[in-house]
Amino acid sequence: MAEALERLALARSAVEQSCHLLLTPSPEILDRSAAALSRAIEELAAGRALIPPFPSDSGVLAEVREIQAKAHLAGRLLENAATYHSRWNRILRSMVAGYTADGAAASIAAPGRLRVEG
Amino acid sequence: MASILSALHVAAGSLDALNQALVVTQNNVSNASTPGYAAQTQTFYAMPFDIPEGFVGGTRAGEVVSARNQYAEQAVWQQNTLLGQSTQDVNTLTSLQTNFDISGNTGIPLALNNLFQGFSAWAQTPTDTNARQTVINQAQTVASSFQQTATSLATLTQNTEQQLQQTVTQVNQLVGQLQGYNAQVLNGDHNDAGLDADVYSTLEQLSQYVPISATKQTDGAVTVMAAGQTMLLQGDTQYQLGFQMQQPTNPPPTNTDGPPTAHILSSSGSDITSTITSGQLGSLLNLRNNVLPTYIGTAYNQGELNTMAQQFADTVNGLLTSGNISDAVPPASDGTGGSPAVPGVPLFTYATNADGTVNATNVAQSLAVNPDITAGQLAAIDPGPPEVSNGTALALANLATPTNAAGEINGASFTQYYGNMASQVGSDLSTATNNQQVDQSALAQAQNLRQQQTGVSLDDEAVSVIEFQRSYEANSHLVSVLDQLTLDTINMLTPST
Repeated sequence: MAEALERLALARSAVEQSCHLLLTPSPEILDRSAAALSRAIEELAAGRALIPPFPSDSGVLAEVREIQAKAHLAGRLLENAATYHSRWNRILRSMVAGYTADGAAASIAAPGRLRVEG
Repeated sequence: MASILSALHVAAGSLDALNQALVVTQNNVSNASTPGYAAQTQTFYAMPFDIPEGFVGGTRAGEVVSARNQYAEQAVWQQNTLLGQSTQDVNTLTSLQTNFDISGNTGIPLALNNLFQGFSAWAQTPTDTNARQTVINQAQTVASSFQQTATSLATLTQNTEQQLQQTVTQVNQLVGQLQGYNAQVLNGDHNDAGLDADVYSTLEQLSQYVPISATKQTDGAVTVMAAGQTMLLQGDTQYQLGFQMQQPTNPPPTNTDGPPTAHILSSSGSDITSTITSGQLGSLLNLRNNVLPTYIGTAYNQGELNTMAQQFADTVNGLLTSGNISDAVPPASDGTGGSPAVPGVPLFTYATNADGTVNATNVAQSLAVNPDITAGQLAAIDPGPPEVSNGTALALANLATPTNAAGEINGASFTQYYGNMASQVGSDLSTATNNQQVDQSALAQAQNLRQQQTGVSLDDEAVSVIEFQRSYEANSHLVSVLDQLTLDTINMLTPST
């Protein structure tokens, strides 16, 4: 049971790290957040496999509930950031490139980049 | 003809501006990674529209960056509004929870348990005067507990109304400050950075009280609206909010003495209460108009505390008055003497209106023990048939764990019904506390996003949006997996739920 608790604590720590990262979302940080969430899933799955059918330790349940609460927080932060960027992008496109015939914000052409150094 | 030419001129100007923007933006996108390249910014603004004066409107180059700033500020205000709401929810629900002890060690649940024990002891010795007096004493404690809870809820209700008034006053004061800033801007302080900082600081303060949207006009003045539809400030004109408590008239109230409801009024007197659903003001309105009435009632509902008080009193009184204090004495063989059975008298009283109907929303507050009742007047006898000498006392004792609907309230025992009320408050508080923690993080995130935009190229954002989208989808999928896994694990650990 001690090992299960240890794994769950690692899972919680990884989700907390993801939440912390999501406070300042950028593409690079989102990649790190995804890695932390993957680690949390692995640790949770591993910890879950170690839990006996009828655990007497209420700490296990409390730890899992805490992980769930943090996962919900991560979800909310993710949703907020995604909404923030997608809305801003829509505004930006409409301001810069105008609207399409059906009223949606038009796309900004992004041609391939060519970079020469030397 | 002139108007067609004007329209064409406007369209041409707008197209020209858009074309410039496209050129600039695509140039920036192409060179986003070019070392030493200084990104250009294309801006837009609206031309004045006043046909008689010759202003035909249209779009010209303006400042895209300012739009982003405005957008980021609005995102912060939205999160601040949510945090203001959850913080107020936590504060008020914490106060509300102190009125509902679920442990059974104080207040109504303790008084009820003691009374049920008193009934039980009386059922064992139905003629014992001490046991009867104990029942009356415990009944007085039950009545006092209901009164205390009702009084405490009434105080909380009054405090909430005062807070509503104070919050409206605070909103008006902050908008008044913004009005002063606008006046300065309109008098020429258009580019005062300090003044601009004051404006945004005040708007951020304001956003914790009410959901706001604010836009900066071309003259530099800020226009502020509440809930997206009620004007608070335009130029140097402030539109003050009002607050009033009002008893509804349509449909006619079923409880004429029922508590009134809180209303927020626009400066024109329109009722905008339904539009204020977030912020500190939204929280207080919800608490005053929805949460507290659950317990204290409204013009149309009795409220759970009053319902419980009345049903408990009616149930106890019904059993006692259908019982007998003493048996009938048959007349002698010569037909003389004898007396009918003496029926029981009610134990509890509560307020009624002048016409004799129940004052439904004042039952808990007015619940009392019948001042005329004596220990000898408690009816222990169930006349049957068959007559049972302690039948009524037993039936009263069985109210602790009722076996039929007559002793229940909405399918629950009185103690369970109270427990449901208490647990609902606890559940609401728990939800509000969780929301507050999440909202604090969401506000910090919005503030970080606002901070991050400084020095970031708009074009970089345009380029990275696809990257953002993929990252969000990946993270979102992982959060879903994690959520499902925790849910499955919780179900595994709590198979009964």
